[in-house]
Amino acid sequence: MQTGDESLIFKASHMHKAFGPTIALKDVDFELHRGEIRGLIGENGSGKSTIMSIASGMQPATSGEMFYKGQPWAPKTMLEAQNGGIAMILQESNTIPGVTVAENLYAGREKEFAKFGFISMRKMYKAADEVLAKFNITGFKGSTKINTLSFETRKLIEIIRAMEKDPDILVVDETTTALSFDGREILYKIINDMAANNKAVVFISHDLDEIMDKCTHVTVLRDGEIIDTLEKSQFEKKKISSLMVGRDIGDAYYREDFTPSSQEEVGLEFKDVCSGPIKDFNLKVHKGEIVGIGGLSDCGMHLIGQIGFGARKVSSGEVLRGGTHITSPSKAIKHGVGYVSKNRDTEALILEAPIKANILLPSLSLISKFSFISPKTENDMVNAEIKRYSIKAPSSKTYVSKLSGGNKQKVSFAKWTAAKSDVIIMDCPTRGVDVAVKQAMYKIINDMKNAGKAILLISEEMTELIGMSDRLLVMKDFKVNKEFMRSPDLKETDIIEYML
Amino acid sequence: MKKIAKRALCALLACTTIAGAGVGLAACDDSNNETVQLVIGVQQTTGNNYNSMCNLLDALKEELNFDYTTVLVDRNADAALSTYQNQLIAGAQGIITMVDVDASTTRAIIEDCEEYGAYYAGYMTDFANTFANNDSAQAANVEYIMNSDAMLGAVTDGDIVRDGGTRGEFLFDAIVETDSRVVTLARAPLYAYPVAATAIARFKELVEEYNATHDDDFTIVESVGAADDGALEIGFSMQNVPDATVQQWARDGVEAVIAVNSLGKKILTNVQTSAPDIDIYQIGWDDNIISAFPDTIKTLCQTPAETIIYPLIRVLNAVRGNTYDDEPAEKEDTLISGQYIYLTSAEDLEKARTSCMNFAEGNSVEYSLISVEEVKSLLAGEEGASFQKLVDTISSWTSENVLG
Amino acid sequence: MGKEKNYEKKGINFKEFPQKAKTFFKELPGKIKTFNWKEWAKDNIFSLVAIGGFIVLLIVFSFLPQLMRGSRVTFWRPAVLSAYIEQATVYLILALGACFVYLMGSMDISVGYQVAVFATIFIVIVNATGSIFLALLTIVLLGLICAVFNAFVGAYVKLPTVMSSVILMQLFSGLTTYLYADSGFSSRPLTNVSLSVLNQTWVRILVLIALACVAFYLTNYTVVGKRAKAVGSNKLAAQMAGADLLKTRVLCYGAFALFLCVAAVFSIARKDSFGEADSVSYQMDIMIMLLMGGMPLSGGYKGRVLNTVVGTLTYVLLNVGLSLCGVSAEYVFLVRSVIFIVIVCLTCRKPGLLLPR
Repeated sequence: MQTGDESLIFKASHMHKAFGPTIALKDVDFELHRGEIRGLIGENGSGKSTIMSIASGMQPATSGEMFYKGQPWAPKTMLEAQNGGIAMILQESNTIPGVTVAENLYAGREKEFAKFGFISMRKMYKAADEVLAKFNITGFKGSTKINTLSFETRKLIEIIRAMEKDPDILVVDETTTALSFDGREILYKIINDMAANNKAVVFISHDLDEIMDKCTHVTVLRDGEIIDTLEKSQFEKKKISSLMVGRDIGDAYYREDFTPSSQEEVGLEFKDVCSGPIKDFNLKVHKGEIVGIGGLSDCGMHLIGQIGFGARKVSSGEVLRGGTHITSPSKAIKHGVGYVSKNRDTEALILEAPIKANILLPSLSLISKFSFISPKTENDMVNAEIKRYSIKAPSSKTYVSKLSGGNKQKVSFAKWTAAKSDVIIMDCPTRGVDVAVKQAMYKIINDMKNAGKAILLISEEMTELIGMSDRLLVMKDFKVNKEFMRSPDLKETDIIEYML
Repeated sequence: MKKIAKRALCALLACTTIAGAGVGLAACDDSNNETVQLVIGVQQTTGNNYNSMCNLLDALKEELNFDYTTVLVDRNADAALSTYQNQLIAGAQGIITMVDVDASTTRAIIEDCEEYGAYYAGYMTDFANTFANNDSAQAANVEYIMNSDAMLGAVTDGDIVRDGGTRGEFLFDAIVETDSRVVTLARAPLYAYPVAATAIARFKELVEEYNATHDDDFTIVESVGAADDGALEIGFSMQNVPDATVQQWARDGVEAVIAVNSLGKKILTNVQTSAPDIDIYQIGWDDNIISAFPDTIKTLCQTPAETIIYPLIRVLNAVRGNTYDDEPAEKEDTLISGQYIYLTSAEDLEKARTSCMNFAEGNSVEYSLISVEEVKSLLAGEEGASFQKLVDTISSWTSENVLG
Repeated sequence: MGKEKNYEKKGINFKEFPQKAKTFFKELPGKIKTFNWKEWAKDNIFSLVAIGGFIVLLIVFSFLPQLMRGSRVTFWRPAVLSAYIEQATVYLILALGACFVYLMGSMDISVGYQVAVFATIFIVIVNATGSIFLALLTIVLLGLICAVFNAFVGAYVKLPTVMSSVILMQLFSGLTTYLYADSGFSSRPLTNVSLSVLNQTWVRILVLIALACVAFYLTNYTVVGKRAKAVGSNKLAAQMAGADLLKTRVLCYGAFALFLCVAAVFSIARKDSFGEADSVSYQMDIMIMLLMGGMPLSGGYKGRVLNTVVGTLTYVLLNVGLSLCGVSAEYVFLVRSVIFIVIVCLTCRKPGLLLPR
């Protein structure tokens, strides 16, 4: 890794970005050197994504200057930035559905494979296969339809697409949470190779452990300002967390107790459930218990969540809630089961709807009287939830699409606490959420447990599962491979061997 | 947001200004209070009849001090009522309609006319739809209409005589002169044209009589799906007679189609494509088929567009409060016949081109059957003017008189 | 679980009203001052554009007819307003009913033929039995059957919901032809009863206000209304939040059918008869009206009853106003089309705007 001006690859000077009255970046100065893997970390709304989205041409700055390789830099579009050598991979899904992997990889570059106006798909597929081989990606080809691939694999294709142009700066924005274990390994390799080849990587993430592990430097932002930049030798989890939130968040992050506990009564039971690749799945989630399920992303744990909520049909067996067979989401809700979906923007939330409408949606039948819903009841309920989760929004009528990722996740939680669900199935509940919000959510989950709720926590974050679960089931190949009880000695390494 | 609002405002004002500019066509000078405002309900704003009518009215309006607007009216009675209503509230003093609607709607229009002090008259219609009397409710409506001062009568398209016998005879006379002996029958729906039933019946009668005394018999081929009287009913929603039907005719050796009422165009298209040897003998008001005459279309029957003067004069008289000395006592007498001009040869057409606007080049008013002064002289209050004279003028426009 | 849960269903305490009203008005100036009008306007821009358009047209038609045709031709006359209300009545009733369907992101293109069949059956039954109640009951039942059919096709056949209306359109088109071919005439009159009492302007206004209030209430304060919007915005998320798709569709199409029946009755009342071709253009007219009012094609939370009312009133206003100005038939169509395109372009929403599902 080089130091000094010749190594400076990107510089932003007095960068300011405002969205109306909201200031996203306040007069920020930022420098990036070749060979760096720079982590950017901060709470939701800190400006970490904004600064790099301006650099990668997604949006213009309100004021300020940028320099890239010593020259003034002001890309008008992401394509222009990508052609110039700065590529950004976004948090949201950015592949084109309904077409092949190759068509996604070369979207916008079809002319390279065209002759007399006719595109040679054979050439495109061949080129795509070569690229996939270059990155050691197996399991599909350039001619594979992208719709047949999982969300995680599609994210990988976005990465490959960005790398295809051999950028000098790669910006990874909260992408790892969307990847499978193998995908993450591929990404880490790409990042390391870039640093080794005198290029630069900006790594935006909420996962402090990941940042501390993979990055050479970390820049902490808060409220649109850069608080500090630390070198690897200065990395300390508590220090970085404090810089992020501007206060000492203390040691309490997950649960403070290490003893598994639960009530006698069963909240939700899976009895010999078969559904698709899931065979003879049995599980009892007791009231006052947090049962965690972990594994690789395609181990079947996400299916369990859907089955438990009645969102996926069972071919045999039953999902029981107090003796009632749960067969649909409406039935589940009626019997007090809630579900925080992993697919936040498509399943958990209605983006083009107010916060109020989203929070109230599962509770409509509960609060209606002869089908009439009193505005006062609505407002009281919604305001209570907004307060509980400290949802940052101008009002309850604000559309969810305008909220940050963390606030959106809070809304998807609020739905089920508003509905007073006794059983809550959570699938990756803290994905894309910053540390302060995570801490708050863990507290809420703990409070739910103490209040006697039965909680099924499905997660790809081992630390989260270890930190929160009374019982931890590890799944592999659609079966429970191992069950762990809560213990202070339980480590990630213990679990991983049963996952792989 | 401001931008969008500004843009919206500008766009709307621009649209209205454009509309206003387009409306420059409409009369904007109202300094003369006596200019009578008329609205004419038409089925189409193209064609020989429409053009002829407009050309004549344009020539007349200054002298007779009126102005007119045409509105499109179709079988949607509800829409027709709204259209006329809008014209009445915009100041129309007379409605001349080419499109007849059912009795209930006609009554509703008449009631609106009464409310706004306007009048209603028919052009090229015998009000068959209105008068189709199938129950007591409609009878009550018809009674109301015929007792209303707002109702001024109508001039029909062709002979008002409802037995249709003459129409059947004309068609027979036209075809019997030729070699064609294998024929098929077609007609419009009876509820709209009750006269078609008797026309068909008369034609068949004549065929029977002929076959009894001649060797070269007529054969009447029934189309698949023909009605009880053996004629194919061609409804208004049908754009063209299906190609399959035309092909059936061809297979069965049909040489000519006998079509009663406004059907020439509907049969013409696919006949020309799939069976160009088949001739069409048609009767009834139909526009835009002259180009196929006399090759495929063998008979043209057209009531001169000039008959517009009947409802025009009736309305002008009523609005101005002028009456004839021989004003008809019975409302039925205000329903008068137009006259068909029958063309059966190229020579007939040649003659018609210089004697009748419908067939003239550009539908020029130069070839009008009646001059501006003559029309003016028919107004009530003019010297020598009378209702009978008006009727006689219309009646004089026969084939013999027009074609010579 | 269930409704016994710990929710206080707040009843209405009438005694508190005076105090509450006092507090409300006291706090009002402060609330107005602190209210974020810009944000509110931004969120409601489409409705505001539509309302703005309507107001501009009203202003324009207040003076344009006089300019074009003389001082006697004015808009603000009882005769004109009465004709305006008369022409708007059936459209507005249909549009209010269609609101429920459009909020779900669906579309119905069988409206015209459904009205034709309902109106005709109504007339036939009234003529045969003399009972308006029986006739009404029959068409309501028929409407509900159509509603269930529409709901089932969408839920189980997995076709886009507009397809069920295509099927109904074909069915009712054939039925209409049959009903009128059999009669031999192009219309059917009421023979022993008159509905002319419904033709009075004040009756129309009262009914329209009442129906608009009902539609507003149902779409904003009831479970079905809220679920309809949720389904329109994101069907999957709505289901995952407990919305029973089939039930929601049945209720929405059911509401639509009821409004259709009322519209059919008012259509008959206009001239105590109904013609075969009277309603054929309704489906396209309704769509234009709703879009003119700013209703999003994909439905959802941005759709409102207000869009419906404004759009319908604008559409009919254009017809009446342009006729007053002496604009001929072709130009009325042209101007209406241009204004429609302008409004749709202005209110066209960003990506994600799909045709009804």
